[in-house]
Amino acid sequence: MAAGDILTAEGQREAEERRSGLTASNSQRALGLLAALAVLFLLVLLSIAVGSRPMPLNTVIEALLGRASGNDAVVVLNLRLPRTVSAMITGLSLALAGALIQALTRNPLADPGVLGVNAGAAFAIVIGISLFDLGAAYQYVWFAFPGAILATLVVYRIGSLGRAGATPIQLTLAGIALGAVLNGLALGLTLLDPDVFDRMRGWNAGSLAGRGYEVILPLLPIFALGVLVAGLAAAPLNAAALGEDLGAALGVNLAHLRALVVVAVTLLVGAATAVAGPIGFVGLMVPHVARWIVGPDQRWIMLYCLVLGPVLVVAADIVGRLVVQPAELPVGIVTALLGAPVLIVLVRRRKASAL
Amino acid sequence: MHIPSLRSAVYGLAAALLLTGSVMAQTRTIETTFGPVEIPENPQRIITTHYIATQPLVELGVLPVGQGRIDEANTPFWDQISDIPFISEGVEINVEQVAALQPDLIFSINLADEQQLAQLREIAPVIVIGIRGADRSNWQNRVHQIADAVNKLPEYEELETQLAARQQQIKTDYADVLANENFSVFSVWTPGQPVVFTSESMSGKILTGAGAQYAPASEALALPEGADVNLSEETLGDALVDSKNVLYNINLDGSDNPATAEFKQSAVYEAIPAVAAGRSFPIGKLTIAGFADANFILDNFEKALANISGK
Amino acid sequence: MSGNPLDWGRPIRSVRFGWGSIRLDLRLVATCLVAMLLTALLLALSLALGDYPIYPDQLWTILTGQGEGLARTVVLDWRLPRALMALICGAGLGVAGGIFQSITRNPLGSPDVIGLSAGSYTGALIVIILWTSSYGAVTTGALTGGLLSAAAIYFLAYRGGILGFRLIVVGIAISAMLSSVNMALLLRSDSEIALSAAVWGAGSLNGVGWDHATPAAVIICLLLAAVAFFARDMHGIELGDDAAKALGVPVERSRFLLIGLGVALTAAITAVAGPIAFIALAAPQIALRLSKSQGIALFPAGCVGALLLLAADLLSQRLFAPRQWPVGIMTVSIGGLYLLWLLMQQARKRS
Repeated sequence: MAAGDILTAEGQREAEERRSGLTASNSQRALGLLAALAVLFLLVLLSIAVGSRPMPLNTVIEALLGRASGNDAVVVLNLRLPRTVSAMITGLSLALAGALIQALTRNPLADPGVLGVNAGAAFAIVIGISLFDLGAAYQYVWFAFPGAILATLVVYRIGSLGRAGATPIQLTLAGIALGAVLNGLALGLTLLDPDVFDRMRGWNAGSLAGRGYEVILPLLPIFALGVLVAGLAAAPLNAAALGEDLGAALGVNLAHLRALVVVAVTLLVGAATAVAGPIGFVGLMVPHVARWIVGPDQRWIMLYCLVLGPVLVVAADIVGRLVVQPAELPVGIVTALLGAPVLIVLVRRRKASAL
Repeated sequence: MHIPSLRSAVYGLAAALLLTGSVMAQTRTIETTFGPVEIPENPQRIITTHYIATQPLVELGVLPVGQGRIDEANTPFWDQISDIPFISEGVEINVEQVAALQPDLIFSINLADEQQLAQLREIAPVIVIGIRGADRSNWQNRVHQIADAVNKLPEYEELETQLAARQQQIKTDYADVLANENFSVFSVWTPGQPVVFTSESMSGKILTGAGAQYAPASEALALPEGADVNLSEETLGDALVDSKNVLYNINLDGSDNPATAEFKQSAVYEAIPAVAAGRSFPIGKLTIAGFADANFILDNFEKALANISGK
Repeated sequence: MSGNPLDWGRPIRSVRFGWGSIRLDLRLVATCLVAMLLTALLLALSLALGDYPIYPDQLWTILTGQGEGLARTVVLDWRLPRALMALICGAGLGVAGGIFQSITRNPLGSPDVIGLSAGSYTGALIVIILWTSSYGAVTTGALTGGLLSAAAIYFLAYRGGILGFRLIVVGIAISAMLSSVNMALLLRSDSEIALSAAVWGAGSLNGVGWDHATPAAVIICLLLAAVAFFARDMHGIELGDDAAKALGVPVERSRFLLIGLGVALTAAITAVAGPIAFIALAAPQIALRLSKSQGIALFPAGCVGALLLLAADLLSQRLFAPRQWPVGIMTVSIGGLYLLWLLMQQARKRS
């Protein structure tokens, strides 16, 4: 019942559609990437210039140059700047992780959360709030990240039982099962104590507010490591996509590749969730867009994810800061609202962006 | 065999018992926010499904036989109520447990599940307390209704008089300070989401009753939205820009909420003019269940005023 | 007992009736019977256990119609409708999940994934937060939300036909959007409202009485009967569109009808009890593994679903007594744990 089964007529049609993307040559892809980078640059500028507090542009520039004081300086330098940085880093991590997980499980519906990472983080945080009275962003980080890692380890352990090892379907099912259990337990614990519930619903929405440099800097090495490992997995994933036998013939050690991907996804999503809470949809949608533009080459997909992920998250953060002034809408809520229509449009096109 | 005399004796006895029973179970009708309810004249076994009804009862000198979940850290009455069984965890009520406790009066909240309310009504009369909606700020009305139902109106009057007297005392003792100062109240429970409380909020009414003037900026920014308003870290600075003093939330045991503690280390906090001038004080719980919470606010307010005038 | 001349590789017997014979897959039948037996046992337990003490002889008196007083209310008006509701909703969820997984040919293609629950939740939240917690209003809101979102998903996914993959993707997209809206609504409301809405959102059978259980049960049973009628076509569709058409199955019409029935089932159940996660996802898979059938079999899925939900409801009341948990949390935990266990068993067998 796996999607993309080439024994059916549908599967063959999908396989054909798979071969091409919007861009036909590498030079076109490079141009596209540059265009995306330009968009990202503009969005970053916008993110610094606007927010829930309207400020005239020259005040913003003054603040950047260090010539403003009081609330003006604080808003630009201590709030918007670190926030934009956090948005970019979480964006690229989640998108990259999404590309990896979709390539590994060959299921275009896979979201990085499928390995149970988000559930592990959420559960750890609920434990932290209930037992250790956690409530601050920098505290959440130290619980969420280990929780994410532990959950993935368990999922991987269960998914790799048996001779076949960690097959995509085993991993997915194990991840969904453990994720469900952890989410259920977390929800249950929050419903037992209104205080815990209140703090969790704040965290659960996925927010970049109140995340200064002290939250993201300690995790920078983890993000960097995750990106590195992801890069290592790109080329082997291309070979593996041709099928197990062909892949093995091309010298790809599937077991190692799976381990590599799981490590990368855990690091990237674990760190991103630890910083901002669960920001959904980025990992699901951005790889789809990337695939639609460049086709099935994982190296190009990942390069595009590195740029398009931040584009989505920074844009979502900006929108969140503008729509309910003087309050803000957390970024996790906006990403789905922005991304879902795009995904629907994509999927309605004649050439479905299946794997 | 037919023994008419025995049977009529039994009927007579039953009738007599019923009569005395109905005399013992006299009821009266009480007007509540949600309509008239027929309750026993002298309720003895009372159950509350939420702390917002428990605290007033304890303050008035009545201990329920079953209560809604509350943590030790959030109540000053823990010693008195810790042994009372919890029949609700916030929303879900264990109706069978309530039934097993054999109450004769139940206080519930207007967020309770309608089906559960129906089941509760099969056990005992239910008075619904308004926790949401227009009534939210009017905490004294809630306590008054509870006092009325359990025949503790004299005790209520006493508590009310004490509070008013206390407020008056603060007004006179610190008249000069109050004339020259203004205040705003904020809290941070979730990282990145500060909340500002205006003079119309529960705490606002207590503080204005004690003579506090609220700073114009926070009133202007927040009031159109309601009594307590969510802001962002960016806009909090503007809301507090003309406050000479800022007051923030603190737990009953004097400890800081972790998100508040984190916020107090941030640049946004330091940039607030009142903070820079050293005029930032804890004020207490910002949701008021009863007079104990109100008095806690006044305690902290007095300390703040003493601090200001001592300078 | 004479065996079949054909070896299907699994125990199958033919039963002859006057007007023909039907082929019974023994393992399937055994699975269903065991599930039903366990369900009956749990039903009895549900009536006997609770925080209001009811003694066995008292129970018997009440069940034979001679009980009185609060004890009678507890057993017949509180425990019985709740247990029956758990049973029927569980069966409905199992069947709905089976339909979706079969049509989309993806084990992840379950109504909760596709976003029906999110839509119902949105409808309910809008009612709870902006208006009232009254049962009738919330149910109507949930039903409307669920059906509207289902319609949106269907029309957005329809492009000359429903491709399973497209349905799921659109479903996930709509689900994510609606979840965002839900979270935003929860965030912006008072703590108590949010808690109350969250409990509804977790799926709870607490407080279900006869006046709510009866209409819901009738509707769900009618829908199940309709499903039984159209189930044949479903197996045809599983073979693939082309094969199905060759077999004379009216593919598009059947798909539309079956999806419609699945949606209606999920919407009705969600409107009554809130979104109960995981039963629709897990029950067909568990039934599949237990009965080793080739495709999704709806009857076992329904039996397993009923058993799962009843067990979950019983546990949610007794496990941490007297604390009560919403049944949705138990389903997710039990379903997840069992799926994990099954995975481990299967893996061990293969190695």
